[in-house]
Amino acid sequence: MSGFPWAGYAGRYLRVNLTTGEIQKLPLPVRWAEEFLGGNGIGTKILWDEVPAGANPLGPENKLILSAGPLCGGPMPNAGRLEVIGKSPLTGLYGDSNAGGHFASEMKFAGYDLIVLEERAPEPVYLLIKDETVELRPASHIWGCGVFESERTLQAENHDLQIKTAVIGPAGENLVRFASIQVTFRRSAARTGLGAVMGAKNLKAIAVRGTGGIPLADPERLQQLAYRLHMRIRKNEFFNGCHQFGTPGLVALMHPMGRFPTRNFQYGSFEGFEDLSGESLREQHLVRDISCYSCPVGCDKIYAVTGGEFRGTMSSSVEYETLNALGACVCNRNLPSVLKGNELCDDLGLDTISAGRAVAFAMELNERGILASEQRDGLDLSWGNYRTLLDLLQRISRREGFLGDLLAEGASRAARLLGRGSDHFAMHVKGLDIPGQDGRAQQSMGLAHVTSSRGADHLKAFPVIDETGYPSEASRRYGAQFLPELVDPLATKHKAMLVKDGEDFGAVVDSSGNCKSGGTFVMAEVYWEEQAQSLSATTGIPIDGEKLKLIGERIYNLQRCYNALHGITRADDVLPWRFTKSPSPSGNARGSVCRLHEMLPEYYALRGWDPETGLPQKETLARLGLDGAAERLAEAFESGLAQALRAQLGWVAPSADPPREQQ
Amino acid sequence: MISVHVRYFGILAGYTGKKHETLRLPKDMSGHQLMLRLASTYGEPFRGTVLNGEGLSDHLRIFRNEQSLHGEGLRAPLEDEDHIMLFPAVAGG
Repeated sequence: MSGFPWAGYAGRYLRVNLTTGEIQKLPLPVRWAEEFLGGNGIGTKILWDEVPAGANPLGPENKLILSAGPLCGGPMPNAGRLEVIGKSPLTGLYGDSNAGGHFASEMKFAGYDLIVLEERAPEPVYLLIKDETVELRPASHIWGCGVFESERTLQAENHDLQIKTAVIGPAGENLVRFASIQVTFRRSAARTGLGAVMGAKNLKAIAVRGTGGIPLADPERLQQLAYRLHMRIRKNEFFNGCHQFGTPGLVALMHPMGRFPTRNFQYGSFEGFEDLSGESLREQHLVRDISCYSCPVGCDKIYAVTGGEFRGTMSSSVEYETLNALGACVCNRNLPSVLKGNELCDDLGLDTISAGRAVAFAMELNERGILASEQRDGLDLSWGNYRTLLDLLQRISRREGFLGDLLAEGASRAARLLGRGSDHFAMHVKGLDIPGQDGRAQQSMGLAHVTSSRGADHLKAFPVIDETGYPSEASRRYGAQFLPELVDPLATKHKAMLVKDGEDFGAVVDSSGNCKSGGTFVMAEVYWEEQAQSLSATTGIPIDGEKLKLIGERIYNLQRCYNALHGITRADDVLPWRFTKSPSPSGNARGSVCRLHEMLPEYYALRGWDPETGLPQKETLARLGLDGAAERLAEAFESGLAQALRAQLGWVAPSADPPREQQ
Repeated sequence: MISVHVRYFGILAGYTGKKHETLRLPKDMSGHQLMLRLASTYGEPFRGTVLNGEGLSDHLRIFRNEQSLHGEGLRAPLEDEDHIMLFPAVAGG
């Protein structure tokens, strides 16, 4: 027994010094669990406490944290998510990513709530965890291998097909700034480039096998609650669509909404949308439905291409975002090539969103004559050229040629390196490429992109209520007093509240270990109160919805504070000109721009952040129990360190104004 | 009479057995009336997905010529060569 006072936790964590090879099994600090829950929250706390603002994300001083929540490995729906936290090589700021699959629960079964990876191994290694046996092993034989081959090798040499892995591909090894960490089975912790942090540490993989159990505070109550919530999810209006089509089921709806970024966000609708739709995927390529740990939804699928140019392609976790990034955003309507691209990204270890955006950026520069002929490496960068797309994915992962090396930096850094007005076409916020969610067509999403703690992102706030606009859902979650504006995607009223609530709830979900795409955000069968009941029955910690809201706020504010140490202020809470000054030409959003100025002041007020600087106020931080944070921020700005670090982040800020020829 | 093109998405296409069709409709038919007619044509489970009693389901999204059709707009008469898109409950990202 670990002696940890609360159930639901393994009560221990691993701290691995990759330089010395020292592996410590340490008791989980009780305050971490009580104040930050687990997963994302504890990872944020460690980053804040242990990784100084001046740390190079690719240097030994950065730390990589793989963290499970207290619900992971238990019976609650969707309770198998893994959080990965570190300083992002892409943004230079707070970074995190989240993956489904079976790694997080296996780590708990092995007896560890999280792993903190420090320093840098002198030679390529992998970390093997088999319950009490934890050791670093040589990995030179799989260094350079793709993710799939690496997984197979690790299973074979450990004589265990059930071993769960977190692996980087060549992209992570080559320090591509948007490299992913691939998690069993073919799930991706992809955003913010934390795979490059693993690569910089010479850590090829973590392989884990656990045969233990997890103590539960009130097993009988928990079983009843889990059963009730599983059944409610299965009966939910959204269930059938989510189960049959997964997130690709959104593709068709986003077309008339004008929210499906096309041609590097020049448009919000794609004429080839039906070729890329969830319906086409299921009809033409489905092999079988699969699911993550303890998930009743099963939104994941295995798809195959059985004929034509891409015959033999086998792909899974093909998400809405990938269909946008490797499809519409580069004007590619060839679905088999998108599946091939997804398979390549999973094997090479690339974030499909940032990879697709980098290629779209290059294609637009080519269209506008910004790329010189010798900078194209002989490639035909015409829109829709899927062979070039697939070629570039390979080149980026190896940093091959001028273009492969340039785009491996990500569009926002490439724009700084390239100059010549290319910054107008790097679609990002705080260095992170904007996902397939056009903020002109959904005002809350525009706000969410700028307030997300990891840079442009839909998943921090995940404002699904006005994405789809169902009044009964909105009433159930927030009350009828916010209707009708709350469900109108083009209205700005109440959207600050929606985004703040989503960010706080999202921080709690990511810290508990369950999934945002399952019963929480989309179906809201597991919302604040149900989440509190789940955590209480699992851990025994007395907790209610109000206390959870405080924890969510605490986590989110600490992430904002970490970014502020790097000089991030209100001045960085901006969108590219295409969102704010170029009216959407598409669908229901035609004529609309994102009216950020109507939402941001209200958001700061709700947050208790300074309206001028956008920094959390001293009273806010004190209320959240973040002792010392205000003083640390003040010192960073008064000393000039924060401003100096801001100047060194490496990406060029998104251009607020259109290029001269469009003014 | 007018011609209206209707496209079904997600589980609705499974319920109707078709992805799209062109209907000949009376000149003054509204979007709301079109939905009642489709519910009558296709029966369950289509009906239960698009209707809530005699009203339209809160979880149905309708687009007319790529513009969201809701509220009072559902009472307006459709026009010849209108394109209607019907989506069941879907959300996420």
